[in-house]
Amino acid sequence: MAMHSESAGARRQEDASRGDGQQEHAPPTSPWEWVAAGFGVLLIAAMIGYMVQYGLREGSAVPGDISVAAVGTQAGSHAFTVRFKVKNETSATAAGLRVQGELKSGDRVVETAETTFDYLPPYSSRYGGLIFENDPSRYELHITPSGYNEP
Amino acid sequence: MTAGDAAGEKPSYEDNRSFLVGLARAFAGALIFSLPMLMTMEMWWIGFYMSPWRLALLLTLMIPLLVGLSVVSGFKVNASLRDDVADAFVAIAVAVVMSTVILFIFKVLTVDMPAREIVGKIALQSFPAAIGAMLARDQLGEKTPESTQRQASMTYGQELFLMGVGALFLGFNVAPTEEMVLLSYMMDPWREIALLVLSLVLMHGFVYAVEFPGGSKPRPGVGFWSLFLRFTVVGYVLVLAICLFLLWTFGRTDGTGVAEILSATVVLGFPCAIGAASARLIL
Repeated sequence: MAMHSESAGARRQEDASRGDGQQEHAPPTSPWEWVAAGFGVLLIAAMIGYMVQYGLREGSAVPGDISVAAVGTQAGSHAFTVRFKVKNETSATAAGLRVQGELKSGDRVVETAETTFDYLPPYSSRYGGLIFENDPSRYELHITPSGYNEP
Repeated sequence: MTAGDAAGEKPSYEDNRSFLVGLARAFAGALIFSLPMLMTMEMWWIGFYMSPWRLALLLTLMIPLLVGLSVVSGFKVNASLRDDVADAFVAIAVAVVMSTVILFIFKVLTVDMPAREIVGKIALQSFPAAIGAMLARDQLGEKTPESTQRQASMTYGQELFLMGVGALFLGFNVAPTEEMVLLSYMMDPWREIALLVLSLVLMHGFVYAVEFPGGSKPRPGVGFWSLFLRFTVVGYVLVLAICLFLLWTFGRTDGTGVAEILSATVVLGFPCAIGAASARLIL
């Protein structure tokens, strides 16, 4: 290893001492390294470009538009689990998002269940479950987001 | 390939092989340096909720930082600045690829996530990973006589730059975590002053212990105060500035009182000061 590197260094020095106009055309950086460097340029430019256009496009929105939809109910041995999908339709992040589910019979609330999401990122969906003792299919099921904080 | 052939004296295979070895080292280094951050949940969250402008600024600053690092401490003596630039972008490519792969395996990234979340998480991780990739090509590689000599003949500005990188390297590990803010809430002003003094003492201890080989080695006539003021105090101020920048980048300063910001800066300044002072040892 050490030998190899030293010979590479010596070669580079030779290149340098030879150095007339040649050096421009024969850089010590290998061609594949330039390919990798070009790849790096593309990646960093893409990331910066994306963030700048995102910053320009999206103002300072507040996470006010959060939709919740039940996906399905699964009956367990002791309880029923309602799986739901919560989606953030804005460009702001909701932290500590609480989602509340109610089983109603007319005006009477039969049972409530609640869960918390650590974070709901911009335009993202997350799945969660609410666990009820009563069979949700026999009642009206309401799932609503009830609060969040801004990170 | 053509450039290698134009050089004429050795087959291009040789150069490409050593490049691949360097690339493998870069991947290893990126992984070693950024593993703590890849496995920190605040880093994933901050990636998507931080301001896109601050992320863009961080990514933009990364480019001159890596080029500077390649000049000061890179793994090979480059003939010209463009080779240092090439090294910097290779490090970025390695960092992005590595972060993407690891975060997908961790399921921190999934294909159905929106672009903002994916790009944000990868971009934030790529910063420490790229520094790691750049340093590792140096550290895991052999120390050639030229590179050792170059390290010995650093200017004052280069010394400070390396200290700054050392501060970033250790600071990035802890800056995104909740603990920085929590500690600043818990500590009373006296403890903060004690931490500040301890940071300075330890920093000077490192500065003295490393003895600044070469160019900036204290000459016999140079007294305690000269060394203390030129390296330790200036270094610590630099460290605090970097801490403030990191806290601002991670959104920890938003809507926070001046006293709390100052105290979080001092708390974060502790690991950063150690990182800065030991930069010559660990970088």
